[in-house]
Formats: sequence, C-alpha cells, structure tokens
Amino acid sequence: MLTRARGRPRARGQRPRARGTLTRVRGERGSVTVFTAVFAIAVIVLWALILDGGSALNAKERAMDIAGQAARAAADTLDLQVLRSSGVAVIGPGACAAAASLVKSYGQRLSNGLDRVTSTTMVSCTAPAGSDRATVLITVSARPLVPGVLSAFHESARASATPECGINQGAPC
Amino acid sequence: MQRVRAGWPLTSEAHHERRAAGAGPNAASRRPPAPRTSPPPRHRRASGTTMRSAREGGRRCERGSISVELVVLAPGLALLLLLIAAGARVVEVQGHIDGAARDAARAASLARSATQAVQAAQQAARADLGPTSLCAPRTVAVQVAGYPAVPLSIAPGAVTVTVTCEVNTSPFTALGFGLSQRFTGRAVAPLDPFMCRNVAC
Repeated sequence: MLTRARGRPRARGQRPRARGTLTRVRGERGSVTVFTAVFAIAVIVLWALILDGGSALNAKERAMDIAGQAARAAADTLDLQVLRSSGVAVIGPGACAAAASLVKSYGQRLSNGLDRVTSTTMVSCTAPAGSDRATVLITVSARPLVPGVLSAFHESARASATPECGINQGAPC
Repeated sequence: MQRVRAGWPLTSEAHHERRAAGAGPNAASRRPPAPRTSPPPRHRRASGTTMRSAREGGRRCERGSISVELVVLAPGLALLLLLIAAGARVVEVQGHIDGAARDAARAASLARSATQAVQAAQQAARADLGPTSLCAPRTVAVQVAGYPAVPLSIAPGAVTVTVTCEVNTSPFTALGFGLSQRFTGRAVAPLDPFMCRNVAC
C-alpha cells in the first residue's frame, strides 16, 4: 500500500507549483511513511541506549566486583615469615600474581550470555610486599548488543583490600 | 524544497486528524495557526461536520488515507515499542542475577565447609532474587564449584557460583521470545588460604 501510494507518478509534466491545493493533497501521500521512518529510527536508537547503556552499567558493576575480588586475592597473600615472627599480617611477595590469576579465571568463567564481554584485564596492581594494602585496577571491555549505534565500551573500576586477622572469629593472629 | 515537502504533510495531517476525530465545538480554535494556503471557506465550514462532504470535489476523496496508513502501520510501531520494553527487562534481569551471583560467591567463599558453602550461596542468591525480582519464584538454581573438599594448602583457590533463574517473557512472545527465558549469572570469589576449613575450628 505504501509503495503504491508513493510510487504513483505525479501527473506528467506537472511540477509541483507553489503550494497550491493540488500540491497539498498530493503532499499528504506518504507522510505517514516519513513519520514511521523517523519513529522507527528513534525507537531503535532508544533501544540501543537502553540495552547497551544497561549493559554498560552491568559491566561497570562487574568490573567493580572483579577488582574487589582481585584485591582480596592479593591481600590474602601474606608474608608468612613476618606473620610468624611478629604476628602482623602484611602482604607478601606474589600478591599481584594471585590477583592476576583470579582476574584470569574470572574472565574465563564470565557468563557469556547477554553482555558480550570481550576482555577482562588487570590494568594495574599495587601490592608492595610489607604493606597492608593491595589496590587493583580492572577494565572490562564489551561490545554493544545493538550494532552500529553505540561503540564498544570499556568500564574501569578500582578496589583495594587489606589483610586482617580473625575476621570471622575476632581472634588475634 | 525538501524541507518544505517534509514539513508540510505533518501540518495537514494534524489538520485532518482533528477533523476525523469529530473535534467538537472548539475545533475552530485549534486550527493550525498559520496554514500556508488558507483553505477556501467552503472547506472550513465543513470542519466539525461528518464525512458528508467526502464526495465533493476530487481532492477530498483522499481524506482518511492517513488514518488508514496509520492503522496498517500501528502493529509495527507497537512491536518497536515492545522491543524497548523487552530490552529493558533483559538488561535489568541480567544485572539482578549478576549481583545475586556475586553475593552468593562471596557468601560461599566465607563458609567453612563445602556443604555450608552451598547453603550459604543458595541463601544469599535467594535473598537477592526474592519476590521483588523478575525471576519466577522457585526457579532460582545455585551451583557452587571450586570449593575444596579437603583443607587448602597455601595455594590460591577460588569458588565459582553460577545462578540461574527463569524469567517470565510471555508479554514478548510477539518478538520471538518464549514464555519464559533462562538467565545465568556467574561470579568468582577468592578463598582465604589461611581460613580453617573442613575441620573443627
């Protein structure tokens, strides 16, 4: 119906004159088509904003969780000699390796369902031996679900953790 | 030229919509403010009357064609709007279930034995995906992997929790969704290597 209405030729040789009533009636044809096209494009852009904006929020939360867990893994790597000699829990060597291994296994196990996470990288890890604070910066990259509207997004999050003694039981080291 | 042609039909469409709706007494006051061609008086008088005048003159026989086009296109437009609602629901549920998996993984990593880890993970996930979430009740399933069955030596370990639930997608069957769809969330939490496990602490 639309194509017929649109494709119907103007009367031969008649160019639209300066806004006469004839032009006006003919101009109505296909106006709904224009409306529909504009509306459809607007809706699809909105759809992309909702889907990919929501996915970006989810990816941000996920990046925050990965950073937190990686920082925990780093803070779990204690210096046993210091712990046994002085009873103080400080970060030992290899903390960032533990964090990197957790980030790697987290990235492998990510649900590959809705959000198309393309990479999970540990951008930086600061856990000097002898200190009591491990800080990890994570970037999660994902590609958009609706192609062609938004570009790929990269969400970063930073978290830090501290080793403590007896969290569950309140006991000293 | 292009701009004029694109803008003009909208004005005339609005004009016709009012008349087709039988606009009533104040129709004249809601006439478009500055029509580019002021309609002839006869035309104007016809506003508010019925389609009796549809046979007058050839150019009136198109009256209502916009309405017909809209009626034909309306289901498509409604489907597009439905698409937005479906996308919003999908994204929201995925965020919920990811959060539940995170909480469950953290709860499982704090447990003292494998059985307690499963219980803690289930409790945490079900508390998150309660009646206010879009997950259908009693479809939340929790799976815990990686919790050691024997006490850990000093080696980094991590527990992985997978949470699934069924979400009612029956409003979106027109878009190709089934009656319900399964969503999956997964999270990993490190295990404290210095916590005593599987023994009386």
